[in-house]
Amino acid sequence: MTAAVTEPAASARLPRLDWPFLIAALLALSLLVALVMIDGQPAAAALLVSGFALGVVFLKAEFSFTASWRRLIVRGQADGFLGGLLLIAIAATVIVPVAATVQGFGGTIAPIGPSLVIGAFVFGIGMQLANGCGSGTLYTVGGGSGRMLVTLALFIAGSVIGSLHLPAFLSLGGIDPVLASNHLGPWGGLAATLASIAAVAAAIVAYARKKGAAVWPARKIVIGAILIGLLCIAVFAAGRHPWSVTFGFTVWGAKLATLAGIDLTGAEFWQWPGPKRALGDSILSDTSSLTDIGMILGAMAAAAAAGPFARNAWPPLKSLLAAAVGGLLMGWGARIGFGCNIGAFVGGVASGSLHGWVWFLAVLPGCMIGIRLRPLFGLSRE
Amino acid sequence: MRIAYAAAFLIGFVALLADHLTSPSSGRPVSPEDFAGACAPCGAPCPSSRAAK
Amino acid sequence: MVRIDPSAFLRAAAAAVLAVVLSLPAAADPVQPLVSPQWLKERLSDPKIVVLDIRSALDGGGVEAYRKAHIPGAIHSDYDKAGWRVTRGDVPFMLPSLAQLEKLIGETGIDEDDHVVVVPAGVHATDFGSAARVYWTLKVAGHPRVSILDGGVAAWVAAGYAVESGAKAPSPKIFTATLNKTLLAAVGDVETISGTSAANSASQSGPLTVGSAHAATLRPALLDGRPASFFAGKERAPSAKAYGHIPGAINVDSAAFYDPAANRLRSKSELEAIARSVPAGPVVSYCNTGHWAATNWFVLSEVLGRKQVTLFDGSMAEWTADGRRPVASQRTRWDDVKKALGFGS
Repeated sequence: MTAAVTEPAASARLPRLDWPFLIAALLALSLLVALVMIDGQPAAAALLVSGFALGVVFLKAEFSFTASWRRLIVRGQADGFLGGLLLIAIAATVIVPVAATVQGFGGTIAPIGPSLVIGAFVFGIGMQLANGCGSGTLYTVGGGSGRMLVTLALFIAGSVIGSLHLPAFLSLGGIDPVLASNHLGPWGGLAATLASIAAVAAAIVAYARKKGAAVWPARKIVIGAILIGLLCIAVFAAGRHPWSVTFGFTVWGAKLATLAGIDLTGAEFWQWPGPKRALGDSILSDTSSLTDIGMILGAMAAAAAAGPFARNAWPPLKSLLAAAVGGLLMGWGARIGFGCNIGAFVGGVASGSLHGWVWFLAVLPGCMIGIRLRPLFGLSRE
Repeated sequence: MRIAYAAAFLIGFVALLADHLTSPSSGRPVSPEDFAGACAPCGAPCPSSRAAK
Repeated sequence: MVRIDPSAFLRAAAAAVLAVVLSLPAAADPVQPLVSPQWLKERLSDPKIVVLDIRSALDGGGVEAYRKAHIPGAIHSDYDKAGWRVTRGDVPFMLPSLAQLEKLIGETGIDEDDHVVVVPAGVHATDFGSAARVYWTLKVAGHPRVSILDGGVAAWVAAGYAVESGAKAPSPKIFTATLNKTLLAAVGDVETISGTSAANSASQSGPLTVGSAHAATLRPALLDGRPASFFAGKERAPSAKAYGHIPGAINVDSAAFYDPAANRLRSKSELEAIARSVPAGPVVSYCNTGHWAATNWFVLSEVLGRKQVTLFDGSMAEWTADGRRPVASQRTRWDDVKKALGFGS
């Protein structure tokens, strides 16, 4: 997941700061903030800046859901996963009660059924082949990885294909969303949410202890988790719903398809009010896209400020193939499963929606299969 | 990789700007989309409403 | 023996009848929406004629220009300040309430027996709109006899007729208003029309063919009387909160009906030709605040005699007051950037 370490001699010839990319990232952010401010949208500016901060934190903390879940599955190592639970708990303390009580704010909900489970499962396979999930793809792309650019491209494509299939998968059935605050009130819902997080944490700690693997996260992860949790709150405040990643990709892909002459307006997904509006309006009017773009730029700035940028060699073709297949599966799976690790898992659990835990239970077997497939593409098993 | 990355970044950014500048404007701040009645952030309808159809 | 010549007798009788008819007081003439300076000159001494000079800051003259030179016997009422348009709620330049209208019209010295001749400055198309709006306001309040002096004060002066200076104080009268709803469109009516028009989204240019199955129920048209740049959303009046037009509307700039060289409305045949792009059937005329739209209403309803032509006095100011009502335009965010950088609008 981290950028490959270059030879000391090589890096000594290059400046410590990669100025072109640092300046490019900062200029790009400034220009986008200016454009949305001209539009009279300070909330959009806040989302860009929050996304930028998320990119910096994820990159500096190397906060990888994909690698930490792989370590949990293969070795029973709990540290990274617990860091994820910490950030979700922090975000939940604001999201659950505010979504339940303040007009105009909503949590992330989704129906529970075959669509959710199948989508999450396929996403799980994809994320382990790609070496990144939703947030992972964004911060590694921003960090200068050409391989993850391939993943992103196929993620976008798979996302559009998924949008065309989603209505069919929805018709397979399911139950309406189960939201804790609907049944227990804002504070009862929060208590239930935190209790569920604590219960899962306890189970994972017990499992890690049994496997004799590392339990508690390192300081870098804890600090990263706290900052990400707080930024989740900021994103929720600005966008009025929890942080989401993959909807942005779907919109980008649909706009490219439209540019190529494909008419999506007849598809059921693209007639729903949210997608229809997003397709017809600027990318900078979509909350998900704003945080996505901000995150790529933030990771770019952080990576460029720390050393040579995008100077790695391309990985072998097999690895690129895994990146592509992984991206495609993630794109399709995220659309069918109502999001990725951020949108469905973090967003769902932090909103007190049962679908977040169901998504997680379904993604694990997918991850296991993906981990098994990694050596076929020359990737490590852990 | 560096050249390819820079090219991809530039093309992507220019495409983003083009999309934004050609998008329609009413010249006033627009309030966020109301997802009322939707069952997911993408706007999917609820299973209960689909069954009723 | 005198022989009676039938043709000479008939000619004399005709001349006598003509003389009687021509000497009848002006009130017996059918009321024309537009009257010429000559017509007015001949009837200046008629006590039933009220010459209403409406010059305001809009034509660069106002009450000062009135005091310097006005048509003999004319009363002044400032189009902008006297209360012909009021702010209701948060929407400016609206039609006043019936009680306000009774007070305004009565205090100006007008009652139902008078024949009001509205006199604009006669300097440009927008200034004619002031007269059209005052005309429409009087008609909405139920006044039975209103005309506009074609060409305004400028035409009177150009015809060489005498003017007087000073100010004539109006003698207030009691005016009883009866609301003529057939001339007025409310925002709810416009919402209905816009929703149906936008849903049909068929081309609205050109009249609907007579004899079609729905000729009896012709679709109402929304007529936007502003310049094309406002309609397209490239420019905006301060009173409108969004750029663009009401969805489903068609555009005929009210200035098209005005001859800037002669400073009066174009000839009836020219007006008819321009109005051909407005479909037959009910028409709701609107603009930013119902000023330019008054000219369009006047031309279609009063000069060309079309039926069911109404004015939406709230216009874009009222339509855009509620952010939930849709607005159609060709404006892009590039236009917004140009405006922010200082070389756009």
